[in-house]
Amino acid sequence: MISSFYSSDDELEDDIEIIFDDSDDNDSFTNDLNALTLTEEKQSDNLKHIKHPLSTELDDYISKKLHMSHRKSNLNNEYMLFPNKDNFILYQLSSLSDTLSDETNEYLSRVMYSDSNVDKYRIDLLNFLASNQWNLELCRKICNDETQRESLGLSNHLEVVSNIAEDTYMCPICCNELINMNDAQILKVQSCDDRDHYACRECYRKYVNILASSTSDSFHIKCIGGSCHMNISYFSIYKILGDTYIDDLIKYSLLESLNNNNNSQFSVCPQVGCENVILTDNIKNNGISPEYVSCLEWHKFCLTCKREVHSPIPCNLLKVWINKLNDGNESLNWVFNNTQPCPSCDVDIEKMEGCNHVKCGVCKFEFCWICHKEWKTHGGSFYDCMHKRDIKHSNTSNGKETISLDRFRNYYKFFLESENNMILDMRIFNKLIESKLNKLSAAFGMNLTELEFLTDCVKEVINARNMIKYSFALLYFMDQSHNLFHIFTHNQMLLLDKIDEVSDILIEANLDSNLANSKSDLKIIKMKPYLIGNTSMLKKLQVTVNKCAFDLVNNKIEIYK
Amino acid sequence: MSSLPRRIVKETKNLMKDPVPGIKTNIPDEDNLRYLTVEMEGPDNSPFAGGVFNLELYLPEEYPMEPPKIRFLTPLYHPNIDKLGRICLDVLKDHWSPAFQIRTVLLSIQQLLGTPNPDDPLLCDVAELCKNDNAKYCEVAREWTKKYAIPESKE
Repeated sequence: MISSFYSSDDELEDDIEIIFDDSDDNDSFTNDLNALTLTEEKQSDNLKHIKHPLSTELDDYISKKLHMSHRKSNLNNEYMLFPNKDNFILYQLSSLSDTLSDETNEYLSRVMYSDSNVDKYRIDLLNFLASNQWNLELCRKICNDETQRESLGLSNHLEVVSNIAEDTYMCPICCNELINMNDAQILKVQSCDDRDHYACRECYRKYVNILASSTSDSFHIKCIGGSCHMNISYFSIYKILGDTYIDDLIKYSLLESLNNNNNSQFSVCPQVGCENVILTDNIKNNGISPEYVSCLEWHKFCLTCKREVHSPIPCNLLKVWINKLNDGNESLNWVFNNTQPCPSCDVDIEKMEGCNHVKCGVCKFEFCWICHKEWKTHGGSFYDCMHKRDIKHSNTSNGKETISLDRFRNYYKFFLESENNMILDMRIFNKLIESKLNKLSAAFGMNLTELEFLTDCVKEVINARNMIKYSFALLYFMDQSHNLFHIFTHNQMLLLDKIDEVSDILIEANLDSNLANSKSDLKIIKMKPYLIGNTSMLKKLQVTVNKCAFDLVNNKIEIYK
Repeated sequence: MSSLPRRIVKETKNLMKDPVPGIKTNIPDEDNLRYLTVEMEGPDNSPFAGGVFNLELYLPEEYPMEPPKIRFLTPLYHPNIDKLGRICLDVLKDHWSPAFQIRTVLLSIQQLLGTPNPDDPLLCDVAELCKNDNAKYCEVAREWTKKYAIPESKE
């Protein structure tokens, strides 16, 4: 996937308030966390709840380590951002601790608060989270459900068998003889007295390790004997086997929940190599409208479908589109994606590089790669086809199947073409490096903020290109005889024309060249007001296209699926 | 030969010395105690009665933390066993416990032959028949047993 920078209008712009940076400014963060807890308490009840001392102690522990920040999505929902999973775990811990503080039941005081040991309290909470898909609401429910909470096994510990009389004992699992029982090597589960279910420490270590790395919905650890189905507490595993065993369990259970598509509350940034975790609290999304968020590294993606920014097409149609792309025979797909038939002799031609002016190697017919018209009468630039509009919606084949296939091929061609254009523009953007800006700044005595208009402009062109790309995917599904279809394509073309206009200016300005070219440099500086105007024009046109798409989707005029 | 875990040595020794009735285990290669072949008699009161079914069993590196890998070599008509002889049985998957043994697993498989579980099928068409027309299912299963698992009929 191509990562793109997307911000189509002022409303969609992120409202950013970074609470916490990478700096070590712990105090400011602690204040914010406290502020957050306070508002939550106000909302839930007017009663001032007194926190359990363990909960306060845990908060102290967490606030020293936690890094996070808040942002708002395009739908104005607030979301929280964590640089990695560890920070997310800390935050969930503190939230669960707060959630349970509001509950008053004997289970909590008997099991969770029984030992004034903050380590035990922390691991019990982790136990709750890991065995309940990291879902706070589920944890709260289970805490109030007498039968379910006991099955969590928080009060059922792994323990060392002390009353073995023999000098040597054979572990029933690995069958090794254990000499000198004072080393306390044989373990059992508190509530299970079956001697065949005893096992040595080494066996339990291997057992927990394997469980932690296997896929599962719930990360309960049961008695090694299997048949007695007793869950045991994470805390006893931590104490007897060591802390790394718990860490692995927690890590895998979180990974499992993050990969679960039914979980709509938190997700990992889909960009390869990015570890950011995004948490949304009150999601009001219908599961269709795209909701865009950007992580701390500014990777922007759709929270609803975990894909790159894809307006104007809604998530559900995008999924159908992508399935269609992946359909069918691989090699046929390759031919389909990479070649076009010569309009004269029908041989499949692959274009490796170069402009749209193509000459068939077999019959020597010269034509335009985009519209298939003869080059002589074509006119226009070598990279841009002026006839898109004319050929775009022509379906004159007979038979519904061929219509649908032709139609798909047609729109897919435009989809790919827009993607290629976007990649070209992104190259320019990537080469618009600081040195060029610095040179301009030195040559014209302007400071860097005064030159921001250039980066803004390129960024907007790329956003708009991305929108054009996905608008072709949307059009594939729509009924072209409907008036709204024409309104949409009209606005789409207005946007496309504007993009081409601005893009041409940017290309002429040699932004990707580091060579000093005072003539073109001067020109681009002179064009500043014009470019600023067009940048906002691009934004406005994108809003319009988005609105038209909204009308298209809401009037349910889609015909092809 | 790399040193085998005591558990495996002990279990295979026990199986040889004190076999499960109706189930015969062999070690085709004395140098590889992790690979066993099994001859299992079909349980009475089942369409598999009278047949002798061959299985192969492999104890993976992590055994007993991981379940043994086991499959039928003789074809049989059963909703929980597929064409390649793979077996759909909970104790061989997520209900495995290190306290189980080869012996327990083999007994469970023999039991599965007598009591198929069409609600959790590996083969949907067989399960469908087993549920809706049990008599017909038994007939086909008996036919297969006769064809593949009874030595005299092979000639």
